[in-house]
Amino acid sequence: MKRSCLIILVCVFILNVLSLMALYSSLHQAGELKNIEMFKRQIIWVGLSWALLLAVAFINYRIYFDLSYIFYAVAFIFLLVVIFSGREIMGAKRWLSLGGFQFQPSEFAKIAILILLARCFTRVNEAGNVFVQKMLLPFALVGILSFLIFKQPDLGTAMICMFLFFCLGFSSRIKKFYLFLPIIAGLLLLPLGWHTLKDYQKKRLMVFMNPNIEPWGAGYTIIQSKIAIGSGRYAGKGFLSGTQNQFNFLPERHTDFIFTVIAEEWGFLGSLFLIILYYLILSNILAIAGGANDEFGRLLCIGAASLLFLHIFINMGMTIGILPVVGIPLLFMSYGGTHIVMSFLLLGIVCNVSGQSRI
Amino acid sequence: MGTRFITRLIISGFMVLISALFYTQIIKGSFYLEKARNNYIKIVPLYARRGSIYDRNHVLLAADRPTFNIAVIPYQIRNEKDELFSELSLFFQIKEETLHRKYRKNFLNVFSPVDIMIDLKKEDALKIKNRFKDRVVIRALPRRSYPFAREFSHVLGYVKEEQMSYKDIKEYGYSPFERVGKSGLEIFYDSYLKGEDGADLVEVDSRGRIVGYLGTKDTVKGRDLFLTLDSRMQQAAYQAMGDWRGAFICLDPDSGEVLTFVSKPSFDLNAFVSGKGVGTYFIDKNKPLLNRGIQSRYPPGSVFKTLLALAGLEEKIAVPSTTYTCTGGVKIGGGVFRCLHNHGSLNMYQAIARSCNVYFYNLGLKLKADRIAKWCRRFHLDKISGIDLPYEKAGLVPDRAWKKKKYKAGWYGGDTANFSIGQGYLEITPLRAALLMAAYANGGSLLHPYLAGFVEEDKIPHLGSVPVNVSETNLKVIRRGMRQVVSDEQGTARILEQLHLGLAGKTGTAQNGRGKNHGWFSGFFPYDRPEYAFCVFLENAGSSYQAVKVLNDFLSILKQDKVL
Repeated sequence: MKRSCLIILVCVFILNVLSLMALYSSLHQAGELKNIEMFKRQIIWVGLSWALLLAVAFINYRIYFDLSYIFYAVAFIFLLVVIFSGREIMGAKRWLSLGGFQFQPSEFAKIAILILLARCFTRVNEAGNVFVQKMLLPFALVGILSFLIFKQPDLGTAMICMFLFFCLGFSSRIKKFYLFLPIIAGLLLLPLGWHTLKDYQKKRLMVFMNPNIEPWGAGYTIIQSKIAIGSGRYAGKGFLSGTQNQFNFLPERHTDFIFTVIAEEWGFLGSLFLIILYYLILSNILAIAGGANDEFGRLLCIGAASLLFLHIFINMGMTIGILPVVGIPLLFMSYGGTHIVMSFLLLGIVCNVSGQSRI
Repeated sequence: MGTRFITRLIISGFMVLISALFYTQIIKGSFYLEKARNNYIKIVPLYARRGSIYDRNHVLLAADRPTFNIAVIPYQIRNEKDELFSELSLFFQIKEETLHRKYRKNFLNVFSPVDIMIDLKKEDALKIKNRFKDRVVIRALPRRSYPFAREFSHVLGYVKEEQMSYKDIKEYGYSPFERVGKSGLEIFYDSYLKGEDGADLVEVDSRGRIVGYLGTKDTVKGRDLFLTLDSRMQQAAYQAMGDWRGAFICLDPDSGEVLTFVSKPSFDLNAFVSGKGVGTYFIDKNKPLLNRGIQSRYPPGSVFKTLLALAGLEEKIAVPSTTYTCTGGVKIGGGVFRCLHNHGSLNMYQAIARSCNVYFYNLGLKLKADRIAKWCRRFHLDKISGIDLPYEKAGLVPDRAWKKKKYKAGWYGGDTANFSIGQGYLEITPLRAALLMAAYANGGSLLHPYLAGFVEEDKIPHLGSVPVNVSETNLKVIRRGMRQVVSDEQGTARILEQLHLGLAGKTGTAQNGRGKNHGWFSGFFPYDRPEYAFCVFLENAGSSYQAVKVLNDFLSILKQDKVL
C-alpha cells in the first residue's frame, strides 16, 4: 500500500514537471516568453499544493465522516454567495474573492459531495428505508449542489458531480436497480433540460455536432485544437515548436486546452505517456481502495479516482473533439490554482487511507 | 463489489481516448499537419503588371494603374465588426450596408483580408489607415484602365478581376484575385499580356501579422502589345458611324493589317473592369456586346454582284461587253423579280456601277447556283478569316445540297436569282466583305487579317495570304466597274467623288427578316494603287446611302486631320 502511494506521488511529480514545461511553451509567442509572471505563480501553486498534500496526508480520514454534513453546508453557502455576489468572468460567476485571492467554490463543492456520498453509501446495515436513505437523500443533496453549480453557469462541473454519484453508487453495496431509476428519470427530463440551458451552452452543444457552424468562437477552438493535436503526429513537433501554439492559433491553451499543446509538441507518444501516467495514478488509488481498512475509506478512494478520471476524460475528450467543449481543466496540467489544490487535497486523503491500511 | 466497476470505466475511458488520439494523430496526422501549415504559412500574392496595349503610332490604349482597397481581417475584428463599420461609414460618408454587403461578398476565411472599400484614392486610403490603424489593412492592387472607354471596346475586350474559385485556395489563401482577359485582344493575347504573378511566402500568427519570411517568387511583367490599328482612324470611324448599329472595318489590302475596326453600339470598357453598372448591357436589345464585324453575319446584298460578275468572267459565261436589257423586272418561275429602275441596255461595267438587278439575275441563271457557290467558296465566304479575335463566325454559302438538307426542298430558279444579287440564304460578316474587297485590290490574294503586329520588339507571326486562282484581267474589270460606282454620272456612290481619293466600291441594300434594309458600302482606294480596303455595314439603316454617307464623313474627318 505504501508502494502505491509512492508511485502516485512520483507520477504526480512527473506530471508537475510536464505541466510546467507545457505552460512554459504555451506562454511563448513567436520565440519569446510573454508572461513570466503566470509561470512563476504556477510554480508557487504547485509548491503550496505539495505542502497541503503532506499536511492532509496526516489527517485521519475518518474525521471526514463526521464532518461531511458541515462540509456540505459550507459548500452550499459558498455556492449561494457566488451566485449572488461572485465575480463574473466571461459571462459566468464562478469565482469568489476570499482574503485577497480567488477561488472557485465549485471545486470545494466537488470534495464535499465526494465525502458526503462516501458517507451515505457506507452506512448500509442500519435500520430505516434503504431506498430513501441510500438513494433519494444523497441524490437530492448532490442534485441541489449540482443545480447551484449549473446556475453559475458551469455545466461541466455540474455534470461531473452527477456522474460522481453514479460512479460511487455502482461501486457501493446498494441495489443497482435503484440507480437506474434516476437515470431513466433523467433521460425522460432531457428535452426539458435543453430549455434550461443558456444560449451559449446550446450553441456549444450544436457546435460540437458541427464545428463549422461557428468558424470562430466555440467552433474555432475545436477546429484549431484538432488541427494542433493531429499535426503532432507520432512524435510531435518538438518542445516550443508547435506552430498552432507558438503562432497563437489556440485560444485558452494554457488553461483548458493545455493538452492540445502537449499533443502538438510531443505527438502521439507524448499523449500516450501522459495517459499512462494518469492510469498509473488512478489504478494505484484503486489499489489503495482495495486495501482500505473500512468501507468509508474505500469509497473515498474510489470517489477520488472517479473524480480525477471524469476530469481527465472530459477534458481530453473535448480537446480531441469527441466531447463538447465545457470549462473543465486538465488536472495537474492546466494553469490555475483551485483545481490543483483540489486534486492534491484528494491525493492527501488517499495517502492517509493508504497509511492507515493494515496491509 | 468494490473497485471493479470504476476500474472498467477508467480502462474503457482511456481506451477511447487512445483510439481517438490514434485516429487523429496517426491516421489523420498528415491531413492535420497540412491544415496546420495552411494556418501559419500564407501566400501573399504579388500581382504582375499586365502588358500595355498601344496602337500603331504608340498611342496608349490599355494599361494598368495602381488602386487602393481598404480591407479587414475577419478574425481580428470578430468582436467589433458592426462597430468598426459604423465608424467607417461616418468617417468616410459611405453607407454601412454597402460595407456589410462587400464584406459578405468578398469573405474568404477568417484569416484572409476582405476588401470592403474598393478603388480609393491613395490619400483617402492613407487617411483611413491613419484613423483606424491596425483594424484595417490597405491593399494596393493593379487595375486595368482604358483611355478610350468606347472606341476600341470590341477589339480590345476587357480584363475582369475575379476572386479565384478554387476551393482550397479560397479556404486558406490570402484572397488571391486573378485577372483574366474576358474578350477581344485581352483574351486572345492573354498569355503575352498577363505576365507571371509572384508571391511572398510568409509565416503569420492568428492575427494575420507576419512573423517570418520564408521566400519570394518575383513577378514577371506582362509584355506590351502593339496593334496595327490607327487610333485616329478608329476615332474617326467611331464618330462617323454616329448612332447607327453596325461595323466599320478598314485594312491594308497588301499586308492584312487591320487599321480600323469599330462595332456599334459600343460599351464602356472601364465599367466592365469594375463590374459596376454593366447589367444593362446584357439585356439591351441592341446587343452592344456583340462584335458586329465578326460575330454576326448578314446578307451582303448588291455588294455580292462584284463576285458574281467575276465568276461570270472566269467561267466564260460573260465578257465585259456582255449586255442585258433591264425593263424593270424579269419573270422567273412563277414570280416577277424586280429592279429598282428601268435601266435599259447595260454592259457589265454599267451594271455594277448602277447596281442593276436584272443584269445579274440573267448572269446568275446562266451560271447556276452550284457554280456561284463554288466561287463563293473560292473566296472563303464560308470560312472564318482567322483574325486574332475570339468567337469569329463563318459565313453561310448555300447550294442545292445545302437547301435539300436544311429545308428538305428543291432549289428553284428564284433561289438562284436571289443568290445572284446577294439575297436569300447567303450571309457573310462585314470583315469578310472587307477581305473580298482587299482580294480584288491586291490581285486575288485572300488575306489573313490581324490586329496585333508586335509584342514589344518581336513581330508576331501571322499566317500569310492565300492566292485565289483568278485572272488579273478579269479582276481589272471588276475594279473598273467598282470605280464607276463612284465616278460614273449614274454611279450609286457618286457623292464620294468630290473627295478626290480615287475611291472604288460597291453599295448594297440588303433586305432581311429583321426590319429595315441593311446598308452596305464596301470597296478600296485609291483605285490605281490600293492602300485601303474597307467595309461599312449599317444594320437596318434603310439603304446603302447611309453607309456611303458614313464613309464620306469618315474620310472627310481624316482629310481634315491630314491623316490622308
